[in-house]
Amino acid sequence: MGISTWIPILIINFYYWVSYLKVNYGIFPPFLSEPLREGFYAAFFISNYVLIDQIVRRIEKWDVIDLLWKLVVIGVSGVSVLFLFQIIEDYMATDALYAQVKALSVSVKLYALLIFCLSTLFIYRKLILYQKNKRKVISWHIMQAVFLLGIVRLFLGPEPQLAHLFGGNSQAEELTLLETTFTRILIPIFLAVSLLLSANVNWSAYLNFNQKLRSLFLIGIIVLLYAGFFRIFPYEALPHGDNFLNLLTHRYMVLGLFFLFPVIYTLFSGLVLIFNLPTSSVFEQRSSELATIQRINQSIQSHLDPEEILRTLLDASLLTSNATGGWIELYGESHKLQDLLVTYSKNVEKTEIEELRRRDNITRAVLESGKYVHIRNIRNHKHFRFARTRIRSLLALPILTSRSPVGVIYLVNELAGSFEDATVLSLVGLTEQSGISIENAEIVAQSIDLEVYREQLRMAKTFQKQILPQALPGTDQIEFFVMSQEVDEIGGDFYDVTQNGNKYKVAIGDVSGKGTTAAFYMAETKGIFQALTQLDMGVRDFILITNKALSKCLRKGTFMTLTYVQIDLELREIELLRAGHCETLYYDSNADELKTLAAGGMGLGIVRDDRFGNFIGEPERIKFAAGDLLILFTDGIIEARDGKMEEFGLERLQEIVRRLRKTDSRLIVETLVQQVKAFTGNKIEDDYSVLVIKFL
Amino acid sequence: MTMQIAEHNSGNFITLTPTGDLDANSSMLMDEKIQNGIDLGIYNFHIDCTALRYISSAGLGVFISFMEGLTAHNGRFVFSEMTENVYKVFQLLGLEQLMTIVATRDEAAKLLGA
Repeated sequence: MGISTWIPILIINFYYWVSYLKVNYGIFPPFLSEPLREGFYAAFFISNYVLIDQIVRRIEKWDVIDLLWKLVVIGVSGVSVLFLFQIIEDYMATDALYAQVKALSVSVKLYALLIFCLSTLFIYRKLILYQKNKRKVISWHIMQAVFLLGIVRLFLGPEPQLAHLFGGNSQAEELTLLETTFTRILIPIFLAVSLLLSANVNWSAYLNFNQKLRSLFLIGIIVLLYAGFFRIFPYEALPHGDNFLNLLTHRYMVLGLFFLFPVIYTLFSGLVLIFNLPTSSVFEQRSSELATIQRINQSIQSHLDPEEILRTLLDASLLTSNATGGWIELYGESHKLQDLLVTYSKNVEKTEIEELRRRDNITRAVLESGKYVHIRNIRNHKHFRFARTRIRSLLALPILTSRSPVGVIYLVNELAGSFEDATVLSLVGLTEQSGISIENAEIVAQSIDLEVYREQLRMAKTFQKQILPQALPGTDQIEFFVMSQEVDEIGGDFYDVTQNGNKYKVAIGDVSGKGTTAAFYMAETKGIFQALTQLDMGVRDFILITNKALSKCLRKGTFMTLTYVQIDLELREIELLRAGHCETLYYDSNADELKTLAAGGMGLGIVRDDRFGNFIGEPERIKFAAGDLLILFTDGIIEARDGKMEEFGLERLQEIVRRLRKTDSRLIVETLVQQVKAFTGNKIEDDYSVLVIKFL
Repeated sequence: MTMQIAEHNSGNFITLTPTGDLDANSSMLMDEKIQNGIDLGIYNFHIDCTALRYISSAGLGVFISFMEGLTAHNGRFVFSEMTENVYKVFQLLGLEQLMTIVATRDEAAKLLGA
């Protein structure tokens, strides 16, 4: 609130004092005439209204006791001022200046009353609008409108003649119709809104017993203070103000309204507090239980070990209910009902648990329905009536995760009917929270496992990369270029090249299946390839021995396709055999013809005994010339599919090779891969490898 | 894409009709269906390939892995109504020499002794 607000308020207040003395006793020359003077009185009320409103708004701390204390301090000061001036008045009764002293005293008393009423009004507003809602705010606005109309009332009726102040005759003039109407309409509205606002005592619900007692004490003092004001108030200073009712119906009704509303609210809240006192301990107990449950919930949520969570759940349930004992029955690994384990128990004999379990399978009922079972008195229960146990009341709650039941928590008491509905509900909340926490803990554990698995996969992938040669040996007579891509974490494609003087041995293949096992089979194949290619043997023997070797290590149902090529640069001859693998393309530059080499037969590991030889066929032999091309690939190339599920196919591959037959191996490979990617819209679903050999 | 496998038990053999792609994921389902049949003591299977659009190496692996077991019990797989694409895959792998592939359902049924 800036100085620009304070200054007008101070000026208006100053004028009040000056004008009061002037109007009533002619101490100052008249300098304002009606109705301007009434305007000033109105401004006086309004400015003080705004002033106190602003001051109270500045109180940031919302504390009932503190607010009431402030009010008591203001009230005691106000009443003290009233008493002080009353004493001065009495003392000066015979003095020559008595009239002036009396006038000053009356205006000070009125001012003190006004400040106290307004302070009460705004501090109560703070209490009323606690937990604001639209209805409360609208009621308050109506109240303010009533106050404003009360101020308008100042302009009506005859001018105050204060002769009666000194025993003069008070005018007995009749009220005009307008004035009466004002009273008749405004007062009922005021009373109705007052009652409506007085019903808002929610703040009292949040006080504990002690705080309620203190509030009640303070409210009692406030009532006494109002009584004090009421008693000492100089009604005689106001026209027709010889009693309170007249005050309300006449010119200064706004003062009456300011006075009356706080009185009504004070009485109301005092009554509410008195009536709430006996139940307060129950609410306190409930709220302390809630606070405990809240704390336990947080503690349960922070655990990552399901066992720890269950232990906490049992401890907490015993703490928050008045159970004398309890236990938890858990599903074993098998998740079968007969394998329930009593994992934790507290203050209950194992024999008692066994006795109850023998008589009825509550656990089954609870887990199958997912709902709790509450037996108030087991002597009234058809199965437990004759059970040898001290237990009388029993509560069984399911502990569930969204995927599977975890178990059941039992709480028991040796007295019948010892679990209240409210307790049961809070225990339901607690067990539900535990279920969620257990599930979270499981998810965290799983994601750790998953991370470990991912790490292994990363290692396998690195390992697989090392299996496939990155640089292939070339000379002035032969040129290699290869490109390979795994789509998943680990692919199943294999290729390798060895060189032994003038002889090159090349293999390209594909292990069925993917993942880490595929990587191991690839490593195995590489070992076999590297070992066998050191020996001098024909391609057919190579395939037969490789089949035998792989059959020893490939899992049932797993097989491998392989195309094996031996190139002799001296004899300028190629020997090639296909074991289940897709065809190889060969470009014969002399004939300018692209051939498809399909010699061979069955894949490796399908037939694991000697019969395999019957299914493999004879190798293809070709004399090559400079400019010839050999195009080896895996099915990922020709089986790549576009959005319409059409395969890239051998023909598209042949067309590309035909078009680029005069270029080098690198351009053919790169163009091919690029075309396949374009064909699939960059969504190749399978691994692919292409190896192109150009003879120079 | 989820694959569906229709199943019909003719008493002494079971007809399985896969629809869509038989790849690494759907091969588990095929594996399960065949194993179920074997558990019932049936070792002859008619695989109706009318609606089989594509078969991957993992899909083939299922048939290969059961083949020996069926032979030991005088049973076998008989494939019918293969599309050219699927037949090509069998052929490349050399499986056409190992497994019985016939043109029509009726032929398959006749072979399996319906």
